Amino acid sequence: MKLYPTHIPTSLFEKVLLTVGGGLKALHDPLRADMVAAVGETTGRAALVRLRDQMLRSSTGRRILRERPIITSETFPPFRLEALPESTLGGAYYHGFMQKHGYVPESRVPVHFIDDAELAYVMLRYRQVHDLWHAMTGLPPTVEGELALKAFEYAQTGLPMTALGAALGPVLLSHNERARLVSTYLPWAVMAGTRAKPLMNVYYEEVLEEDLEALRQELRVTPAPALA
Amino acid sequence: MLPTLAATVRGLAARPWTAAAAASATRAVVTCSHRPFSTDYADVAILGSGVAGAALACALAQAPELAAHKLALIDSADLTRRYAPATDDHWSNRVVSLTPRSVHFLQELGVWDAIPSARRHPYEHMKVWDACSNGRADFSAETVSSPAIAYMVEVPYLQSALLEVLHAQHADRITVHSNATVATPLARDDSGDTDAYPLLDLGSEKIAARVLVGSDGAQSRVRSDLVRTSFFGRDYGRVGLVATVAIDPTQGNATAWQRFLPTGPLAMLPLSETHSSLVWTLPPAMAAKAAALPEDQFVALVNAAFFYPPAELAVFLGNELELDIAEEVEWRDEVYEHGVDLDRVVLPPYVEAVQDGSRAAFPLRLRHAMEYTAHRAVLVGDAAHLIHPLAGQGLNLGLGDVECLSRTFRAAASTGQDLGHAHVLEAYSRERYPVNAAMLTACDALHHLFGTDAAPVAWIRSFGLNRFNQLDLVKRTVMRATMGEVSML
Repeated sequence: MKLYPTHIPTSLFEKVLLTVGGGLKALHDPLRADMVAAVGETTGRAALVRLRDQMLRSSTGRRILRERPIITSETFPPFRLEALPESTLGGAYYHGFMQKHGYVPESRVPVHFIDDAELAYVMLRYRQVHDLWHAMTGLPPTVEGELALKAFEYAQTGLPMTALGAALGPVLLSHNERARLVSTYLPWAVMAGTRAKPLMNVYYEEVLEEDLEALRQELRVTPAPALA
Repeated sequence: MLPTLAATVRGLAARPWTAAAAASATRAVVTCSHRPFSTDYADVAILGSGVAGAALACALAQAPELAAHKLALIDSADLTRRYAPATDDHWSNRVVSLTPRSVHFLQELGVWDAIPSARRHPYEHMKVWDACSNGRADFSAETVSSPAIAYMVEVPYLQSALLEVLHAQHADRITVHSNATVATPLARDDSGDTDAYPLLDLGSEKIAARVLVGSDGAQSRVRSDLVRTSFFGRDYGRVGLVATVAIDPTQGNATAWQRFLPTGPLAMLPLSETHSSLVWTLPPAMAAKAAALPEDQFVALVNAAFFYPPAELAVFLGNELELDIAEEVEWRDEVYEHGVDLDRVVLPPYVEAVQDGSRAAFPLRLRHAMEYTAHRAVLVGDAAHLIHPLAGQGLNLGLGDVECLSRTFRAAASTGQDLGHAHVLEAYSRERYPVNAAMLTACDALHHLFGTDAAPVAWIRSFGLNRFNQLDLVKRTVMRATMGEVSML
C-alpha cells in the first residue's frame, strides 16, 4: 500500500535482497547514488525513528515535521541565493556548492523503501540538508570531504549507511589521503558531530541569510580543519 | 460470675502456691470464654473498619461457632455514614476489581446483593499489551468457564454495604465503636488478670482483647506497636494516577485494557456501559502534570497514551516543551492513522470526557510484614502487605486474608481453643503468607520486566508474552491463580 508518492512497498525478503545487492553495487561503483540510497533506506529505520523522536523533542523540529518543507529550486531560488554574501549560510552554500559543482537541490535521490510516510520525510530531509552541512562544516565535496562528512553524519544521525560509507569508502583514497582522513578528519568528525546541537532540528529555509560564523557558534559546529 | 473469679484470684494470692492449684486456676481463666457483656473485654477486637475489617466483622458475626464470643469493631471514622453517589453517572475514583473468589466470599456474607447491580460491573475479557513491542495477551472468562474475569465495584460502596449488613443483621452480635480514637502507642494489659491481652484505650473506656486483629491499613499501629515486625519492601518511585472517564459507548464496555509503557502500565477498567476507571502508573512529576491538565488536554493525552509510541508520550508528560496537547494529538493522529494496521492494533474505547475532580494520585509501594502474628495480635489486608496495582490484587488479597482468618477462628472455636493462641494464629499465617508473597513477587517482577524500553528486554518479553498468549493451558493456570480457584455459577 503506497503511503507516499514515491513509495515502493517491499517485503522483508525484498529488503534483504536490496541491502545485499545494492551494497555490493555501491561498493563497486560509489557514484551510484541510487544504490547507496537504497541500502541507506533498508538499514536505516531504527535510526530514523530515533531522529524523528529527537525532532519531536524540539519545537522547531516539530514544526519541520508538521510543515515538511522540501528544498527545491522554488524554496531555494538560485537568484536569491546568488545575491547573498558568502559570509551567510545561503551565500556559502550557493557559491561553494551549487555554482562551483553544478548541484541543483532536486538532484537528491527520492525515498522509496521506507514503509512510513513520516520517516520517509525525515530521510528525505536528511538527504536534502546534506549539502547545507557541507557549508556548515566547510568540507568540500571531494571524496575525502564526503567521507569526513559521512563520519560527521553518523555522529549526528546514527544512520548505518553513513558509518558503512565512512568505513568502506577510504579504499578509494590515495595512501596520503587515507592517512590524513584517519589522523585528522575522523577525530574531528566524531568530536564535532557529537558536540553540535541536533542539526536536523534547524529550519534551514529560515536561516539562509544568517551569518555563517554566528550560526556555527549558536549550533556549536566546529568547522573542519582546512584541506591543503 | 465475676465475683467468683475475683475471689479465686484473691484466694490464689493468699494461699501457698502449688502447681496443681495454679494449673486449675489458669484453666479456669483460659477456657472460660463467656463473660457478662462488659465494655472492657472482647474475645476478638478488630481495629480498622475498612473493607477487610468490616468483612471480617461480618464473617465472624454470622459464624455459629462464634455465637458465644464477644466481638468488637473499632474505627476512628463515622461508621454510620453511607456512601451514595452524587448521580447515576457519578463514580468514585476508588474502585476495585473483585475476583470471582472475592465475590463468592461477599455472597456468603450476604453483602454482594446489597450492592445494586448498576454499581457492580463484570468484565469478560482482558487485553494486555506492550507499547515497546508487539507483545500482547488476550484473556477471556470462558477459558476458565467463568461468567466473568472480575467485577468492578466502588470501594466506598462496598464498605457501606458491609457496614449496612453489620448494622442490620448483626447488631446484637458485635459492638461497633464508631468515631473511636485509640490512644497510641498501643499497649498490652499488664494488670496480671489477663495474659498480656492487647489493650485498646478509647478514652471513655478500655477494651482488653483476647485477640486483636489489625486491619488498620498501611500505617497499622497494631503492626508497629504490638506485632513489631519489619514492613520490608521498596518504594516504586511511581504514583498511581486514577481518574473516572466517560467513554464512547458504541463498542460495548465489558473488557479491561492494560498497556505497558516503560514508565508504568496504563489501565482502563469498565465501570458501566458509559464510564470507565483509569489507573496510570507514572513517575510523580509526570503524574502531577497530567493531573493538572485542562480536561480537553487530559482526554487527548489519555487517548494518545493507549496508542502512541512511548517517546511521544514522554514529550507530552515532560517539561521541556510547552504544548497544547489536544492540538498536537490532532496532528499526530493524522500522521499515525495512515500507517495503522486496523487488524492488529489494540484499541480501547475512545475517552470522551473526564469526571470533574476524579483525578488523584497515590504513591505505589511494595511492602510485606515479616510476621503476620505476634502474641494475641494478627494482621490482615494492607496492614500486612502492599502491592503494585497492575494486577488488581491488593484488596482481593485482603479479602483472602479475611476469609482465611475467619475460617481459622471458626475451626479453633469449634474445638474450644483460645482464639488468640499462637497455634491458632500460626495456622492463618502459614496459609496466607506464601500466597501473598507469591503474588507480591509476581507483580513486582512484572513491574520490572515491563519497566524498561531496552531492546533486548522488550524482545524477550514480547516473545514470552506472545507464546504465553498461544498456550491456553498456561493461560488457564495463571487466570485461575489470579481469579481464585472458585468460579461463579
